[in-house]
Amino acid sequence: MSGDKASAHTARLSSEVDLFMHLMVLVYLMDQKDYQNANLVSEAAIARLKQSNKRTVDFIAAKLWFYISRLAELQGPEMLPALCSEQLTALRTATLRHDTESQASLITLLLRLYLQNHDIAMADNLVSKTSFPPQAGNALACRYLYYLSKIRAIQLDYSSAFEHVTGAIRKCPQSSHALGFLQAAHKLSIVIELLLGDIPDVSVFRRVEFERVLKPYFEVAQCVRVGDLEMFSKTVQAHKPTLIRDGTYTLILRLRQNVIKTGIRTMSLTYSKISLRDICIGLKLDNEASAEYMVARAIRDGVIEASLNHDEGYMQSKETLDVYITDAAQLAFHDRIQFCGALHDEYVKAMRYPMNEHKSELKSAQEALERERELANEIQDGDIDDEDDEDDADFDL
Amino acid sequence: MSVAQLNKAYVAGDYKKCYELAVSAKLELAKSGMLIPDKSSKNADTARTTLERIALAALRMSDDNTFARTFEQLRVFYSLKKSGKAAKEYDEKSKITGLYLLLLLAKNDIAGFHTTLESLTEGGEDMAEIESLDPYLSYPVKLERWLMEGSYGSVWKATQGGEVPSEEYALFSPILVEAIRNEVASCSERAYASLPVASCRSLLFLDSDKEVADFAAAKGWTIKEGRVYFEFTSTENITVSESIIIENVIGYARQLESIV
Repeated sequence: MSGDKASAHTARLSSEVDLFMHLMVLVYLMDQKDYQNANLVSEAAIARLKQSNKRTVDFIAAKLWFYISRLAELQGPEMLPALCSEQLTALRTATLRHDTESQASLITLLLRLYLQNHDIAMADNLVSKTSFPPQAGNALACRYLYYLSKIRAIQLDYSSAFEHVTGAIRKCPQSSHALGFLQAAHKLSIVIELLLGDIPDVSVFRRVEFERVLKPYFEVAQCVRVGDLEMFSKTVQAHKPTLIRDGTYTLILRLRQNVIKTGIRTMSLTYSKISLRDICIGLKLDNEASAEYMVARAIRDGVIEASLNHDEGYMQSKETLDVYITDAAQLAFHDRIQFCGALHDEYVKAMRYPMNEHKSELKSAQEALERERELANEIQDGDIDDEDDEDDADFDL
Repeated sequence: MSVAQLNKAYVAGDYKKCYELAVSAKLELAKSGMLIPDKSSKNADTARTTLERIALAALRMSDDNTFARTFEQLRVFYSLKKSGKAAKEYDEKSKITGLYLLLLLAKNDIAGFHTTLESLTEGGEDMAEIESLDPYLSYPVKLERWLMEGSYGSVWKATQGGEVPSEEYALFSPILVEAIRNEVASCSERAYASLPVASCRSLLFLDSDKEVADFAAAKGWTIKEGRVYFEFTSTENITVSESIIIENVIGYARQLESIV
């Protein structure tokens, strides 16, 4: 019955206004925490979205999807599977209609949904099967890059994860409106940088707006830098609830091996010769045998330059090599150039031109051409009068 | 029909027959629409049990692919129960999931391992619980951590001793030991100049000097006067290779051209 009534209304309303009203009412009800009524509106909006096929409502539709998804999220996990299939259908429609705004919005929403269910395999499949529209708004692109980075980090592909998260941070508006996102992105970026074996820049932790939220991460980073296994376990344990809430706990647990590596590295740099027993005590490991394996592994992975003597049970560091006679300097230089090149490319891509702007330019160009032609004609006419300069005029033409 | 036969064979411990019946049993389940779980728990339970038995039988017949595929089908059943109200834990669920994790580990698919683990632990909330309570799941999780750290000794001990949670898990032990042996070998090559045969034997978890000799021969090491000498492979090429420099510089030139 109410459906009849609603369709009678649509006959009179344009669909832009209709959907915009849905959006407004939905936001209002969510603001009032009246989820029961909000659910009704959301259902009606989904039905309406399915019917509408106008390019003018694309932006409103994208926003509507965002709030529909947020509403379901607020009410717990029971609502999500049904919504997921709705969104997938909508994504297909949006892709077919080249509705880039809804498309981008739906991809990010679906990724968020999968990540919340910790269904990384599904999220990865979605990323590989869809292509994120490059024309999409900056905010959506940021979100997409952030989620992508999260997926890659879980899959242990740290270098591309770091690339994505850096992209997200750079693209994100650096104002106070996006502070929450920036904080989350920085948290992720710090953990990934640590996993890559680098220590994040201290200035990140010092920024006033980050100082408090990033404190646990600062402490963890410090443990990794020092290479103190015991302190690391304690710190992680102390901040466990926060880290779980941030969704970085499992990633941080993986840092254990980095802590060990740094510990071994510090020892190899400090002592030219050290017994395995002392390494064991220094790193607080349970037995010498595992210390030996760990050091051997560190040597193979190129973390330290040393050799082991099994008979007498010590590690002997090699003389430090002058890095400038190896290709390390060359590689570092190459990395930086590549980074600058990528940055330049990104900026070029990020430049936006208003649609159809070139048409008016074309028009003015055409006018200019016509004017020139007229001018040429006039000159030619003039030339007939002035016979002396005939050769010059021909040359000009 | 074949579902009943399969279950009978499994209970009787005839895994070979069970394995042979797997395809027709799955077909039967699919025909009656039971491969996709629905709300009627009776059917879902039958299907789940059958799939679990197929998975275990496949594992015993060392058919990893069938096991992995069956696990993917089972995963739907497990995730459904998790979101539903009746979250009764299944005895076989953690066992099979743990076995799947171990399979990924044995295949050295660490990315897949973490992806699966992430979906199990809900982002770390249950991590501590898994570590302390669930022997089936804690086993692969511990192994992975040791493998990544380089505590190969602990891995070896865990695969040999009474820590293996069930006999199916023991099936993976040879693969894992083989994997860590190769890891240790590649580490040793770089870390030591030479080693006494006895130490080499204990480092590589081998049983006799004869095995050390065989292993050394396979790796191209030489044994002289009771010591193993590693092939000294100095891969430290100090001179920067020209082709890389040329490639890079041409790349820079191209980029510059496109910018200017």
